[in-house]
Amino acid sequence: MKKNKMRFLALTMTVCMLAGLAAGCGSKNQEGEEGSAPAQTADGSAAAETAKPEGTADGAATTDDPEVTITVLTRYAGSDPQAPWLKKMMDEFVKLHPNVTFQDDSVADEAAYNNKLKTAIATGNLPNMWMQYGSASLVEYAKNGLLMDLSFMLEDEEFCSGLPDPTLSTFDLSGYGVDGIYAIPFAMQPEVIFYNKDLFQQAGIESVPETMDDMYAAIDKLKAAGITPMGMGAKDTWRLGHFFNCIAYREAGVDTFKNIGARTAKWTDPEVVECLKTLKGFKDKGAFEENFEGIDWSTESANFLSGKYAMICIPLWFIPNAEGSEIADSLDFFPIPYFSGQEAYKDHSAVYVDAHVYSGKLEGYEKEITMEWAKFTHNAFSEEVRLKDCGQTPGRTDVNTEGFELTPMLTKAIELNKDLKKLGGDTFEYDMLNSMQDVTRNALVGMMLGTSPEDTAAAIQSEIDNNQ
Amino acid sequence: MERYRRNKKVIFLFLLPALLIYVVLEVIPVAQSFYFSFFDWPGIQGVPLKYVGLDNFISVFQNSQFHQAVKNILLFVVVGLLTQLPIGFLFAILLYNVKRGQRFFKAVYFIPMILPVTATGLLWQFILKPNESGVLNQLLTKLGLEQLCTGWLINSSTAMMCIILVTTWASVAYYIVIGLAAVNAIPEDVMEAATIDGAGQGKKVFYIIIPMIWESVKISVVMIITGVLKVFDMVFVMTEGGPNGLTHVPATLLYYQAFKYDHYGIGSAISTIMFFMSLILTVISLKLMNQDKEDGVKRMKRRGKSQWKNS
Amino acid sequence: MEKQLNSRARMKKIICRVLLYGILILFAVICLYPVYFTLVSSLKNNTEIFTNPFSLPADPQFENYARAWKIGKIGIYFRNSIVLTVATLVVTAFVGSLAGYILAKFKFKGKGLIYLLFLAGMMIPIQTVIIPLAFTLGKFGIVDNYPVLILLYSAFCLSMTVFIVTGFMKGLPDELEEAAVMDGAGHAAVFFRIILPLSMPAVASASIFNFVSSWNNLLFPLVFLGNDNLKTISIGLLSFFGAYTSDYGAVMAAIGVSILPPIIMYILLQEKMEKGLTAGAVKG
Repeated sequence: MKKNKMRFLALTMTVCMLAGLAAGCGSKNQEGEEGSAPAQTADGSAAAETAKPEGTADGAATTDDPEVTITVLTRYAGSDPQAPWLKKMMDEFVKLHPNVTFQDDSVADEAAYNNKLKTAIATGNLPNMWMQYGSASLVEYAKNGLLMDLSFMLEDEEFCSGLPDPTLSTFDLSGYGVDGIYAIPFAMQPEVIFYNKDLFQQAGIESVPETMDDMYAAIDKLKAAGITPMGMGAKDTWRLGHFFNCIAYREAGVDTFKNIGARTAKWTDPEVVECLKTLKGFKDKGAFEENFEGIDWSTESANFLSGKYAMICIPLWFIPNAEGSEIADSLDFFPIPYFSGQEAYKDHSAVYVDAHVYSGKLEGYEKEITMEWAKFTHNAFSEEVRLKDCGQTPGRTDVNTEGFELTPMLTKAIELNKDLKKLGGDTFEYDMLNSMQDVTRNALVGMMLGTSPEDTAAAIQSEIDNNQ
Repeated sequence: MERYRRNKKVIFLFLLPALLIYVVLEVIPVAQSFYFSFFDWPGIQGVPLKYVGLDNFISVFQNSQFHQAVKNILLFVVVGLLTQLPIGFLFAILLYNVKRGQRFFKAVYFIPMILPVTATGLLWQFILKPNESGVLNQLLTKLGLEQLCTGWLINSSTAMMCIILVTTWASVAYYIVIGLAAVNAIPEDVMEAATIDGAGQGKKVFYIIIPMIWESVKISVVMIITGVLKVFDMVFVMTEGGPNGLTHVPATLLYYQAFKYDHYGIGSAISTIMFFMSLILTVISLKLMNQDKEDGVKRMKRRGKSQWKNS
Repeated sequence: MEKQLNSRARMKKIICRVLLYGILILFAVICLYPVYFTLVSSLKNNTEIFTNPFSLPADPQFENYARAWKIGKIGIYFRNSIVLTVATLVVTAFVGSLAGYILAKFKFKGKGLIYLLFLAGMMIPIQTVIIPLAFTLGKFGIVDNYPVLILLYSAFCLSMTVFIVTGFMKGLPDELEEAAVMDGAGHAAVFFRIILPLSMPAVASASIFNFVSSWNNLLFPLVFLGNDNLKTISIGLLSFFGAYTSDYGAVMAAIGVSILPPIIMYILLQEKMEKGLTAGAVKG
């Protein structure tokens, strides 16, 4: 009896292994087909109608060009909305330059990305292109020659004029003593408040809040109607961090935080503590659901998209998510309300920008071709792909939107993008200390769980003071 | 026979592969990372190491998050020992008495161990979610125990405990395996002799099974201590060490310092400290258990003598 | 009088049995629940997973499996995980038991030190060594290389393996070897024909642990594998987690698919363990 069972199990195991091997081989063949299939857009239309990329100044490659591998390390992988963009750009680039092979090391998960990047930096095996977070690392790496100076791009007027940031000064590091341009901004995502029109109507809110006082009134009305005013999955600390960015820039201005980074201002300064108090005030007013500190972003998002929350604070990349949900018709967005007592900061917005950087150790042909790739991924065609294949608001002003039906939300988003005046990223982005991201965000969560705003400010400031 | 056991060529040949792999791929990197603990390095190749002596260690010992992490990990070790060991061996003994379906149960108990931490972390997050969206809270409400409902992973009194218990659930199978192997190794005749002498289940367990599997118990204790001290995955997936550092353990701190903040020196210092903690705790517990064994054997001998007297 | 006692004893026995099975089944349910949860979630879309986590899927999304297979490339990663893990098990078992034999039964200076050296490895968290390792391996340009990766996995499994196997082999009676040596057997013959077969329970136990840690190992493939076709399942699961949105349905499908072989492998190893055990007991 036992022997038969053994045989049966061994057989099953062998079958599984063979199946695995067969699947492995099979998938390998499938891969070739996958590479050339066009990416699917949110509404199912194939990308066949997108324009062909214009030939670059150097024209198509000749067969004399050396073989080269471009290594790319980004977070546009898996189910990230911009993963199809990256794949498409790589395919199109290879069509123009058949001598190029791409090695895509991209991984979406933050911890995994950090592991890979830090190991690469530590061993000197830099990818050709990657994404950087925060000024601190940018400055450190630029000083050590790890990043390519991209100032020469300013000479290409056609390329620069269509950029949302034509002088490439988003990542200007001169305040930290570093001259030159080391990062290209990509995918500008202003943060807004998405809201549920039906729920607003139910609560009797007639017009969209423009000032913070309107916002507080709306919150009161929603609470009275038994609706959770705002979702906030603070378990993922970036949620609270983002909301704080929006409030803080409208209340104290972007420069205040740039000054903290430059050490001419402190977290414990009264105007900064006021911002913390305002944030805490939202919890005290009952804007969030109970125990929101333990709810994660996925739950928050799912709840909003099933009509449980009236509002959430999220950047514009959320548009495809909103439009793809079952209550898409009830959703819309409005810009972050401003403080009627702080008119000066009315246009200071939280806008998140990816920083694309390139290895400073490249030489010769590899350098040339990588720089071409750099321009290729930020030109008009690239933004067109982002729009048509990923449903993302294009960042340039010269994008061909023909043949693509712009939804009302996207149209509104494009208009909003044109209107941006003063931009700020995360408040800790301007700080030279890498640990500020976690320290700030964790402290905000701690504040919600009971620490006073003054103590919170002191805790954040002490991290700075202890690491001078 | 002595020559057999002292044959230098064989000793060298048999040991070489294991030693080579181990030294080159584990010992040397670990030594390098010990070395790093005395330096400050931003993690960029080419940037020289700056000697800082004991500064990294001092800064770690003064860090309040490190204090919280040590508190948490010690709690983890204690609760881990009190739950994984007894439950694992209990089930081993239970399974020993079950002939039918034993294989089924063993396979099933193994599942939490083989499931990726991603899956179990997600599952337990759903169970432990705050408010009415969490299953545990729903269950408590149904049982009329609403006052116990809370945000399990954000409440400072329950957060760490929850993580520890989930880790136990996921690791108990290890100790069932070890326990079963040990219990099965007890020769049949000893068990038969005890039955003939009229020993009931309870007596069998305490006077025969436990002393004879003591070696396995010792092995399990060492494994629990060393395993728990470096736990990372489960904590990271469930809370990332939050909220606000509440559930940090040394390994998560290490990760943040080295891979997020680029403080390799500090990260290495933390791992050096972890290593010594592990070493010290292991030595202490081994000493305690050897003492216990000697006492236990003495006790058994005394009891045994009196039992024979009565028969 | 006797009849009463007998039926009371029988009642007691039945109650004990029921209790016994009751506990075992309760724990089995607790362990099986995640599988149920995984399979049920694998047929839902993201929103439903988070709004109705525990109910049956309203509208089974079999596309999750298709996505897991195609986009997640589960087939390839699966095959890779199996290859790496099995190879690691074989290398570690072989090399580890060779070393264990020496450490258990032979006499030489420094034996204690070498044993402690192996043990110390159990106390090292994996994160510590990633950077120094990347240095060592990077310098020799060895990345994307399965043989080296297998050796790497093995290096980290050796501590536990040597610990378990040495302990076990110490318990084997010396007479076994002595008898064989008297019959003229050399070291290799004694090891392969006597010691190793008898140590199967220990080797199998160690292999079970090594299997679990190798199968779930995330850090090594993450850092040392660049080529997509060489990656393992642990990495494959990551690809479903976006920066801000994640495809939980597909993750669950991927996990559902990848769970069967480990369980089968465990059952097989368990058999080995038992076989070895009973053989030893009878002989002993």
